[in-house]
Amino acid sequence: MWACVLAAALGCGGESETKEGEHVTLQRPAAAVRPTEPAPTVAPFTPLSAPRLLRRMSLDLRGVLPSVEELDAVEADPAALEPILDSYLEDPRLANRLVDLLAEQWWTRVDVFDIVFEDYFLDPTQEFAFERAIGEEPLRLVAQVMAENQPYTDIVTSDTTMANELLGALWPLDYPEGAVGWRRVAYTDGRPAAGVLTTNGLMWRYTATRSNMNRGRAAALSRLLLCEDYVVRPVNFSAASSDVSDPERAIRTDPYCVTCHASLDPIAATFFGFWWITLYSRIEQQTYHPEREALAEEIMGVSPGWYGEPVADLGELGVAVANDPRFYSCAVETWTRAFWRRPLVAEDQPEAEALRLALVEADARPIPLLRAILMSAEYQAGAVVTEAPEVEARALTARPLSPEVLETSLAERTGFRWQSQGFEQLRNDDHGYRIFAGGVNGISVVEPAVLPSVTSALVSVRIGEGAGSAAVRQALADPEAPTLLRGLDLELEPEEPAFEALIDAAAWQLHGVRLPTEQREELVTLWAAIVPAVGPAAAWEAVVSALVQDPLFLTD
Amino acid sequence: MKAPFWALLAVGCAAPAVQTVCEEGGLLAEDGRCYDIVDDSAAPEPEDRGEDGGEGEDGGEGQTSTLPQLEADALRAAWDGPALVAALESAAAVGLPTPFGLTTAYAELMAQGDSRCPANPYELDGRFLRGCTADSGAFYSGVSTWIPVHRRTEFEFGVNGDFMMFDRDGRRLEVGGGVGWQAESREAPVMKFGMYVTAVWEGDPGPLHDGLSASLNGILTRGSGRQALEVDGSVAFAGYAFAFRRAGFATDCVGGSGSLELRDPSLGWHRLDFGSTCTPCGTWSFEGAEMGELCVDLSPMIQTYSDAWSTL
Repeated sequence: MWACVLAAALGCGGESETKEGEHVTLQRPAAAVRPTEPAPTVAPFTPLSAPRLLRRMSLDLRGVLPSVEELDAVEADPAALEPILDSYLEDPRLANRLVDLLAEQWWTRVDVFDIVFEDYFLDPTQEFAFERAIGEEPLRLVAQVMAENQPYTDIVTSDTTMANELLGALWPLDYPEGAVGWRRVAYTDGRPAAGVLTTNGLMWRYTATRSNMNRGRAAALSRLLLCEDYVVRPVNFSAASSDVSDPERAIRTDPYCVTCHASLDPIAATFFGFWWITLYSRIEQQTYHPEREALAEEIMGVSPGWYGEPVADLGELGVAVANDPRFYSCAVETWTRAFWRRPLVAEDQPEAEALRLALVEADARPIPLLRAILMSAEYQAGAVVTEAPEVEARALTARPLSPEVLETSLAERTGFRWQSQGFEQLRNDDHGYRIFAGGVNGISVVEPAVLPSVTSALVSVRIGEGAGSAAVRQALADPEAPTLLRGLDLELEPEEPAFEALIDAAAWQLHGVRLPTEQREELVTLWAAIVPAVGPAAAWEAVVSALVQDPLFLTD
Repeated sequence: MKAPFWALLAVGCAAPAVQTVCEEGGLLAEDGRCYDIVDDSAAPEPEDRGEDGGEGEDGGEGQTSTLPQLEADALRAAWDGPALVAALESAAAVGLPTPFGLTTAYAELMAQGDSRCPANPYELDGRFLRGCTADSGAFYSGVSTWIPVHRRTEFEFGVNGDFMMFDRDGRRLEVGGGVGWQAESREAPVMKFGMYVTAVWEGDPGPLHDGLSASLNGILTRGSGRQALEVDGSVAFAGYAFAFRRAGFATDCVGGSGSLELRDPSLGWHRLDFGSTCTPCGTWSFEGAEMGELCVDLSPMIQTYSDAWSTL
């Protein structure tokens, strides 16, 4: 977005609207512009402590809390952080986290598609797995390319996709029989090689009606891969002179329509292999229709193209996208936004340009970009120290854990998994609480929450209870296992050193901060108040629950 | 590091914006700041990127690195002339899929139902979206519309819907979309038809067995001992993907008329233009590049229609 924001701010553009609402046609400026003064920087801030920064990196890249040993190491020597970061960038859990992060911006992880699990006669307990597999297909291809540090351009040129055993059983894919898990596979229905652009998952999320003729898909491509959103372009429909009863004519002749459709429609024309005669038919939607490629020109009246350059098919479109300078800027914008947890603004442009260079100079291999983003001052920001406007300060530092990270981090450290009828309750809204917890459903909620809310507080109570219960159960089952309450002994009393050590270790793991004496005393008081009523196990559950509900856990 | 603003302009100027000149002579932006107008003559044009396609490196402020440039694999036809002829004649031997195959299969499978399942002898009326099994063992799910129930002429058939059935032997008929055909009477000289459908019928000995995808309409005519077929649209069957533009085939024509396109294994398209009347040879092009003249016997293409019409 930063490119558009800045470009718009600088006044470039073709068709535009004056302050009085009078439309004039402006020439694209023949001159470039440059600020007369250096752009103001974002508000000064203090960096996070090394343990908190390590925690942030671990949660962002692996979805789990750092180990006690890692926390101890960076506390003793902050220089230990970078080698650990490099190991995180090679962690097998990285791909899953990239999927979660990209889902916030690509909006494919929705709870319903036109084709539902019943269309495949699947058991209701497979509904969640079905919906997530479809929505994650394009995300996993991107994540796999990144985790393997392959050229980022592969996301629009690859002849493979990602599928698990469920998709392998349902769609025309060469998924190996008997295999399980996500893996690279290829479609067998003759679709061109264009990475995410030829995934069913993307096409099912961004569907097309007969009248829309893939224009929505073209707009989605522009938003996702160029970070240019046709939908937010200002269009004054009331000033258009066209007869609305003939929209197909209007989009070819009316200047107010042509502004967008001149570039949008040729892109849409490349998607006719995915143009469906009827919606809600699995046999129509699961298979590519090569013969319909030839219909685009006849039906739309335009030939496939990319900003004036003809393309033969989606395969050539993918290459055209990959060669577009905006593709690189958008990659930077997308991933910087994901890790900075805020949209980029004009003032971020110098940093964004440096990050873009990191990507370009690495031959588009994305790990150096990720590393540069995580080493940026903005990512490592702790608290604002100047009189920054409240909104700006909040955008800079408020980083609530996403529902997905809540799930994975607590599952790893306490064994708590919140599931019901096959649904991960922090990853859906049909039965669960994804939006309540601040997440994105990809349809009606498309931005993660940055502030706590009543519903996120309720969710934190529930996960606190669940994590507390699971943590105690797990520790009692195997006292020596590397769990949150390692060494838990229900006979321990508050005056024993091991008692305080247990609380301190749990807080250190969950918060990445050494527990202050005053707070430890509060937790001991809580423990002591519960023991007489329901016993020490429940009291330890309450202690863990309190630590989980602490803002130091709920944010990074 | 400063931004290469010329690059920004190149990539981000799609959004219209207000342009106002500020007192200092620059452009007043929405953020209230004034921006100097800078001569962009030093900024390379997109096509001025040098041999490697890069954006140039001025070594100073605004420096950028070379953008990787990918080359689209040039489409090279896998089929040469003889191979293309062989492919066309192979497809013609299979015969152009007809609506009759689907309507016949549909009628056969509906006849295996009973008063409980699917409870309607002609249509799946929505009662069994998730399926039911008849006493015969046949399975029905989805919705369908059987055109004869609603027909406007004496001789009008077709089926629309989104349904899946299995016959008593476990063979699947699945349809998304619809097919239909219409004539004034059984003996009428003209029949119109349309196929807008993806379908598979595992009991079909022909191309329906492996699936059909069609966006096709056409006219079949007969008289004076001759039958002729003209089609528009596209169809994929038996591993071939065709597009037709007023393509004509006839029982007394070796070649064809109009034009047809056939997708090459390389994913490019061959095109044959025959002209407005039947000729045995057409002008062959691949992805717009003229390849010469090609002669091909497409007369069997109509056979499936001739056979079906004669038996109706």
